[in-house]
Amino acid sequence: MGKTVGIPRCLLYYSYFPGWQTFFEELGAEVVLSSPTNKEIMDLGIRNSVDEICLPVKLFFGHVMALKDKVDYIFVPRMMSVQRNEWICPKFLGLPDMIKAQIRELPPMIKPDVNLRKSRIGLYYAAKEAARPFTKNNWQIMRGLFKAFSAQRNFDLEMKQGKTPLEILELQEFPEPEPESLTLALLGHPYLIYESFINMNLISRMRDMGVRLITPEMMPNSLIRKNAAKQPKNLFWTLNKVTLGAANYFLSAKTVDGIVQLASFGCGPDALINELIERRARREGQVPLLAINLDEHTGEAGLVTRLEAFIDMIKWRRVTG
Amino acid sequence: MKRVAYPQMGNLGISVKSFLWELGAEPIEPSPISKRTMDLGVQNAPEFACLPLKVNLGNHLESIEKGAEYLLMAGGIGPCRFGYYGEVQREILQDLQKDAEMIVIEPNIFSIYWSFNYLHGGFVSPLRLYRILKFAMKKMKAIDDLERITQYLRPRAKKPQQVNLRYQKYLKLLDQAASEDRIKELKAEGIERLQELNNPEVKDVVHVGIVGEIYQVLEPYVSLNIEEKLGEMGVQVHRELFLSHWVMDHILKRVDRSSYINAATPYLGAMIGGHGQETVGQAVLYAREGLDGVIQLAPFTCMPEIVAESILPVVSEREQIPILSLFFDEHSGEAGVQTRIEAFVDLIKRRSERSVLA
Repeated sequence: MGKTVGIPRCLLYYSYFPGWQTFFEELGAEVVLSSPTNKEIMDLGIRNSVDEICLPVKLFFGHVMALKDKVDYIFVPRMMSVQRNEWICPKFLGLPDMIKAQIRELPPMIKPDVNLRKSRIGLYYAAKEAARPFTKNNWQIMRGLFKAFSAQRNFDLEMKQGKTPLEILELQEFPEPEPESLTLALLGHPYLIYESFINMNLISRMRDMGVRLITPEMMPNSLIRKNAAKQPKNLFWTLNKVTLGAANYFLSAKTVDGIVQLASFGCGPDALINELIERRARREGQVPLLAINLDEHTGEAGLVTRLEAFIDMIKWRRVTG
Repeated sequence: MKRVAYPQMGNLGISVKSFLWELGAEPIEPSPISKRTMDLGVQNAPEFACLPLKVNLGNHLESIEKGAEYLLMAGGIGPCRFGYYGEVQREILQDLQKDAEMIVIEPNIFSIYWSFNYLHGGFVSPLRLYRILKFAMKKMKAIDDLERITQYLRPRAKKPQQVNLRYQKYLKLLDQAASEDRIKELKAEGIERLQELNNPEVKDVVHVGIVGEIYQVLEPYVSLNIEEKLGEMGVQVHRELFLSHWVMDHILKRVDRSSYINAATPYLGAMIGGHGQETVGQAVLYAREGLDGVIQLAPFTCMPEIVAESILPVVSEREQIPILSLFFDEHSGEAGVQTRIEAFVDLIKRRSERSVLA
């Protein structure tokens, strides 16, 4: 077998893993994932990063620590921008540099700059850079990129059909919701809503309660973009634009019984955009919204109590309303 | 005339005020930042927003009380959060049912020109606009020059307080200056009067570079007058961040950034928004220029500065320079900051003594 590439199982893993995996495997590398987040990984992350940084990035540090002795290369992409004139967030822009600065004795990093802010050709350069340890053959890179695209598209389509990455990537199974069940929208960054460890198995918990869940990944992109454009100024963070678009849609279309919104402590864009969403929900007063702020100290009991109270409140509204 | 208010940031107000007068709008001067400004901002702003948003919001609310109808803000295209301040503040003011319009100047020539025309309430010819801008820039530059000399003199004067007093006096005079000649005259006079305070006997001055987020660096209230404090401890403060520099870079024409970008690249290989790359690059440059230490100032939860903070320990190790990162929020206390910078300055002094002996 060829060389091994370690991919940390967090952050954009939940959005792009099928594409990354196909790409590296096409180049003859073996992809190694870190284990799902657990207490040990979180503690490693907290110990090896600065205090002020947000929880998901701390987790990323932990996953890199867990992987670093097991692999030949470690994949830490600099995800700058995946949409024209938009950004991911400053912390993603500085991710490889922070990893390099804070963690000693790293295996060589594969750190392509993924920058599609000006043009999509950026993806080709990123692929070329990512493929450098394995091949210089342009044909092979293009073929890998093409296969990665189709794997990624299948993944996206599966999500549009209502599956979560937890079902597709982690092969978890949830009970089918009953026809009369509640429908809730679950909003937030993919790496928060699908990260079962830090959100205390929120998705499986809610599905077990018989709730039908809609996440932004299941919604058509055009719908999200159209609704995000209701904000007078174009939002320049891709991930938050998705949240904002989905929230705007649900607040005006009222097709869900309630919205659960996740944010992580220390997340910069969340601090501003979730505030906008909360204010809008309060102003219109039609769709109930539960805002949950997650950090490394979030207690399971507190979260469950709030969630149950929220769901009871919605059920009660349904009966009386 | 439109009654226009703007947020407070260091000495920005002096230039903006004369700019607005020249443009034909009535500037509403923000009340100096106080405990009340902070409280107003903190009460109404999102909990985890960065400090400048909260203080600016406090400024806006106080200015509305004073009768402002329009609020001037700068915009941006990310990825720093500053670019979205205007939007968030507008919604907050809307919810508070404050009746003031927010004018956000985006960093492109059309938006700049459009908003200035709008403020004027009619057509302003580009030439006239250029002249007004030039005048405001002159003022800004004069202030920045005086500030630089103040930084030099604070550790070298017999009484640092006297330096601050004279500097404040000339700020007031510059505020009232109405012609370019008067600005020139005041600047020359100010420099002379400040230099009188120089005490040539002072020899052992230590040099510290200040890097970080622009608002935190330029607004003495939120960084608890750290420059004055350092000056009183016998430290000469160096920094590259000045208002005139920033305005030049963002509004008039790009300045050459290659020096700090090149210095930062081995440590931080991309522009990360805000002043992140500048912070890292400038810290490296200060180390190579032979300064004794670097202090990073940033507001709590500032994204680019957190990235820089994670990288600075490596800069410190490889470039052999002590670096202190200070994050400020609305709860930052005078005593805590004082203790930390005292300890840092002690460390630097002892370190430079040791290197002399060795």
